[in-house]
Amino acid sequence: MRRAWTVLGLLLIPVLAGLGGLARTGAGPETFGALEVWIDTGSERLGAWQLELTSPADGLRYSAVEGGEPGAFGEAPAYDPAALRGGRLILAAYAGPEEAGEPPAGRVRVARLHYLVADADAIEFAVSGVVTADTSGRRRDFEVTLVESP
Amino acid sequence: MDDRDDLPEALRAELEALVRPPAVPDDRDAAIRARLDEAFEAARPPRTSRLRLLKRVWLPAAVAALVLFWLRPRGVAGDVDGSGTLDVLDAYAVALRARSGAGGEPWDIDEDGSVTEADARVLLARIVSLDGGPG
Repeated sequence: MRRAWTVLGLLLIPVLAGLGGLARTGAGPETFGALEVWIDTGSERLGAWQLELTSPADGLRYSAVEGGEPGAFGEAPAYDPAALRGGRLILAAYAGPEEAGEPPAGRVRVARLHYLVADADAIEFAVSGVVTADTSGRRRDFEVTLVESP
Repeated sequence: MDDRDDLPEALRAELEALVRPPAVPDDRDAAIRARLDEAFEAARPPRTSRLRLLKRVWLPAAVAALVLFWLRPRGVAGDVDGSGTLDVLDAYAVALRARSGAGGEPWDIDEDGSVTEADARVLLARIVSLDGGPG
């Protein structure tokens, strides 16, 4: 199942990136773009998630990492600031305490990444190391997708 | 005969020769000694000198123990769920533990004596680190 969505992600992203011209703004040597991480938990609630993004795109670097929809995953996921240079970026987050709100269920956006890239046509992302869990901390294979941000 | 000092020397020698048991020939004497040595050697319990014991038992045992110690399975630091890998499930487990108010040594990641959300955040930072993270 995990392999299935990983393949799905690998196939989708170049396509979405190709269609995502509307999401990018600006002209010149660098183009801005945004990418969203979505997780579909079905009827269960999301407890934690983690993934690794790699991009061989020349000159790609991340300008910001945002959290997801307001609530348990509203804060930005954890990442290594050194990874903003591009190449390899590991993101991870778990549901905040009770005050942050009830963990979400269904299809939920958990992060948004803003990036700059020299060659927008060559941009491509690969996903690996995906871990998702329910609110008891048990590993679950929830579906993860990357979507070019509108 | 020994207490008779008045016997002539010649007579004394003659009488002593009669009383003395016949001498055992040297080759037979040597054979008897050899056989006795062989019998005693066979009956003797095996010798286990301390040096031999050290060489044959303790030294190999010590080497084996060192090798086993070197090859012992090393746990991943922070792998509180024992999965063999450090990932967000470990950080989440620590967070849940902290929220439940329970403590315990393996969960106290920052070793400040208590298990709090800070322990989970320390672990999370380690997980996403390009140096110490997975992958």
